[in-house]
Amino acid sequence: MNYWINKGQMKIQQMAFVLVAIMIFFVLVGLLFITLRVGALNKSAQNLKDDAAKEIVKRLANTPEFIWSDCPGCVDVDKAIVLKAHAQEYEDLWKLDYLAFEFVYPSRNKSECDLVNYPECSTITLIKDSGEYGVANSAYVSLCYWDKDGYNKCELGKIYASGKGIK
Amino acid sequence: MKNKNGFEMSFGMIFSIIVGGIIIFLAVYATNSLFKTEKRIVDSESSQELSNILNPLSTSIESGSKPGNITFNVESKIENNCLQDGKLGTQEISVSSRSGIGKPWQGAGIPSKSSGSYIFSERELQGKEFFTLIKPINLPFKVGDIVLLWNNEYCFVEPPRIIEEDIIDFDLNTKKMKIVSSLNECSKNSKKVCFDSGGVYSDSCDSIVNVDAKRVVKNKKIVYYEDNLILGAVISDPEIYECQVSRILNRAGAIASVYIDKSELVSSKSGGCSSAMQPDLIIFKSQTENSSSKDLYNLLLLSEKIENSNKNSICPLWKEKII
Repeated sequence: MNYWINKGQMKIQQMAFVLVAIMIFFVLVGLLFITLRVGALNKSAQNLKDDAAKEIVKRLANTPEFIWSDCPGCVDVDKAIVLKAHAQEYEDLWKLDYLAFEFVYPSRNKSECDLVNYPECSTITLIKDSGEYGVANSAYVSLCYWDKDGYNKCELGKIYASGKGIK
Repeated sequence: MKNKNGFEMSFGMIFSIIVGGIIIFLAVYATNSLFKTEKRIVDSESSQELSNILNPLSTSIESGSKPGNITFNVESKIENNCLQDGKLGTQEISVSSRSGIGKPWQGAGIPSKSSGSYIFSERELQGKEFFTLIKPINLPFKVGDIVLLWNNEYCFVEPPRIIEEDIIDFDLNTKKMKIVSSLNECSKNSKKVCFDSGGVYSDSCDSIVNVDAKRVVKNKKIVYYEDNLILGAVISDPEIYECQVSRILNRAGAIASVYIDKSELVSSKSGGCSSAMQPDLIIFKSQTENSSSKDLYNLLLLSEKIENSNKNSICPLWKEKII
C-alpha cells in the first residue's frame, strides 16, 4: 500500500517538475521574444523618425518659415536669425533634436550667430537638445540674406537636422 | 473483482489533459493577443509612413502639384483628425487595415501627429486607393500647403471656371471628380456638389456652393472659403475644415510675427527700408488670433494691402503672390 502511495507522490512530483520546467521554458521564450520585438520596434520607430528628419532636411528650405522666394531651395537666413529667439515655440512643428545652418563658402571664422554679430558669423543653431542627438542629416543649400549694401546676397551653406530620438 | 468494460485513466493522463488544455488555451490566447498587437504595430507604422508620404508633398511653386495616388495592399480606413492644441494645432492621421481574423475593423494604430500639415478630407475614408492634391496657401506670404485627400466620387454640377480649370489642369476627372451639366447625370453613389449661382440645385445635393458669397453648405453647416480652399471646403468634413483653416490662420499669424522681426532687422541695416509694412503686419497678426473661415475675406483684403506695400518696397520681405 505504502509502495503505491509513494509511487503516486513521485509521479505528482515529476509532473510538478515538468510543469515548472514548461513554465520556465515559456517564460524564457516569451522574454526573448519581447526583448527582440521591442528592439526591432525601437529600431523601426527610430528609422521612421530618421526618414522623417531626412525628408525635413530636403524640404526645410521650402517651409514658409525659411523660404527665400527668389529661388527654390534657398534659405532666408534673415528669418532664421530672428527665429532663433522663438525656436522653442516651433519645436512641435519641426520635431527635431538639432537644427542648424552653416555658411560653407566663402569660408568664415567659426562663430555662432546672434543679432549682434550677424551676418559676420558662421553658424545659426536654432535647436540643440541638451541630450544625445546622434549624427545629424545634412544638405547643401543656398543661404540668402539682405546685405547692408542694399542688395540680396546668397552663399553656399548647409542645413543640419536630427530627428527626435526615442526616449 | 475487476470491471473489464470500464475505462481507467491514469493520473498522468488526467494531469496531461488538464495541463495540455491550459497550455493550448494560453497559446491560443497569446497568439490572438500577439496578432492584435502586431496589427496595431503595422497600422501605426502605416500611419507614420502615410504621414511621411503626405508631408514632403509641399510645393515651392504657386499653382499646386499632383502627386501619385496612394494605394494600400488591403482595404484600409484612414482617420483624419484635427486638434487646435498648442500654438499651431495638430494634424492626426491614423490607419486601420481590414483584418481577416475576428472583427474586420479592430481599431486604428497609433496616430501620426504633425503640426505642419493640413489634410482636408472626410473624418473617415475607407478603401484601397486614395487621391491627393496639394495646394499652396499664400496670405500674402507663403503660409503652407494643404493636402486634399479623397476616395469618394464627386460630381460637380455646372461648376464655376475656377473648379473646372482645377479638374482639367490636374486631370482630376480620372480621379473620381466629374463635371456634369445636370444633377441627373451624377451616379447614384457619388457626392453631388451643386452651385447655387447657376440656380440648379435640389435636396439631392450633398454640398451647395455659393460662389458669390464664397460659402459652402454641407451637412447643414456653413463654411467659408477663399480660392485655393474651395475644393477643401467641398470634400472636407465641415468641422475638420474649420479646424484646419483656423490652424492655417494661426500659422499665418506666427509667420507674420517672423516678418515683423525680419522687417526690423532689414530696416536697421538699411536705414528704415520695409518698416512701413510693420503696422499692417501687426494688425494682420492680431486678426489671425482666434479666427475662423468667416474671417478669411477680411484677412484677404488686408493681405492684398500688405502685398501692395511689399511689392512697392525697395527691399521686399517676400515675393510670393496671393492665391
